[in-house]
Amino acid sequence: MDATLREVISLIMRLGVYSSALLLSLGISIRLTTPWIAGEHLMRLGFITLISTPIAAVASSAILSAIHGDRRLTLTSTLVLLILLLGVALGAI
Amino acid sequence: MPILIAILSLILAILSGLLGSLLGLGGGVILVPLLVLLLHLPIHTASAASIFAVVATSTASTSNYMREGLTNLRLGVFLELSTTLGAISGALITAAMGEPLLRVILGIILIYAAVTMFKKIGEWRPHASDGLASRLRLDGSYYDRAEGVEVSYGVDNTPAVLLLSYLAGVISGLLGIGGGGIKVPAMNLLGGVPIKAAVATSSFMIGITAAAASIIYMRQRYCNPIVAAPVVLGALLGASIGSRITPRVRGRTLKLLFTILLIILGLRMIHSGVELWMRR
Repeated sequence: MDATLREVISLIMRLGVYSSALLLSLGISIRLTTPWIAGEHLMRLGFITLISTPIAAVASSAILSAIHGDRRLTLTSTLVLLILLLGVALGAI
Repeated sequence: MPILIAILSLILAILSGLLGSLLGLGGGVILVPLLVLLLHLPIHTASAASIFAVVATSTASTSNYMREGLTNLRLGVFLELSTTLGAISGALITAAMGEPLLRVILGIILIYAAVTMFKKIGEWRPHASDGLASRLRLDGSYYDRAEGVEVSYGVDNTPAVLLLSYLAGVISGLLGIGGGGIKVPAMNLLGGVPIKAAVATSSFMIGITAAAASIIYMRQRYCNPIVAAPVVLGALLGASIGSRITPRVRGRTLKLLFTILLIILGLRMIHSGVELWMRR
């Protein structure tokens, strides 16, 4: 199970980094060379993609471990996700 | 003017990504003082840009470490419980703390990092897992390509490692740095995790911690995209160049230069913090 999980997380990480780098490059180029607001939106999307990547990795750990019946890893991964949600909630104040 | 700031941020981020990669650091510890001292950015803006760069570089390196089987996923997720709580506390405290105090704290951390840089990490010997680590199955193993052997290890002193991980999280959230300088020695020296597994596990954790802190920085509107976007791209580029040239660089000379650089930056940071406080 651990090997599959590592493969899945590695793939998620690569996809996240490449897509956020692409979005940020496009966004900053548009923002600095044109008056279009699309640049700002693309950069924001890039940052959100980047932040979501490690969180998606933990979520996939929780889901895959639950499927394989590994209760301890499911519990710790879910708790980390809950603490991350707590961070979002506290940041909103 | 935004173009100039973007270009300079990109160059500084390439430099810090390169140095961070060569020295096994996140790069934030170099980037934040450079952005504050050279571009005269407020420390909150520099920390926000740096935390995004830390997410990017740690995510990129984790994808490689995961494939190599070096990351101890169970240990990383378990320690992340306390580190994420620490990062949230740190990011919330930073909003309440004044710029001068943050500068002084960063200065002290820079000098501490410089002093510990030369301290040799003790000879690793396998530890047996303690009760908590055994119950959570935190032990691990990986194939060491350089040595050509399978390395198996247990995790010892788990509560102490958990506490230090919380501290690393607080510092990460407070200053926008990765906190690997605390996590790696804690896992290696206290926990008995081999250095390669400790670095890889710390890299995985840094990404999650920094993501938690960056959500708060974003919501508090400290993130300036004109600085943060080139910093992320530059850090990724620098880290990628660094990982290619690392095998060809003489470690001792580089460490000496880096120690001197950190001490200068640390003293400059403390001086600027005190100066700012006196002016108020």
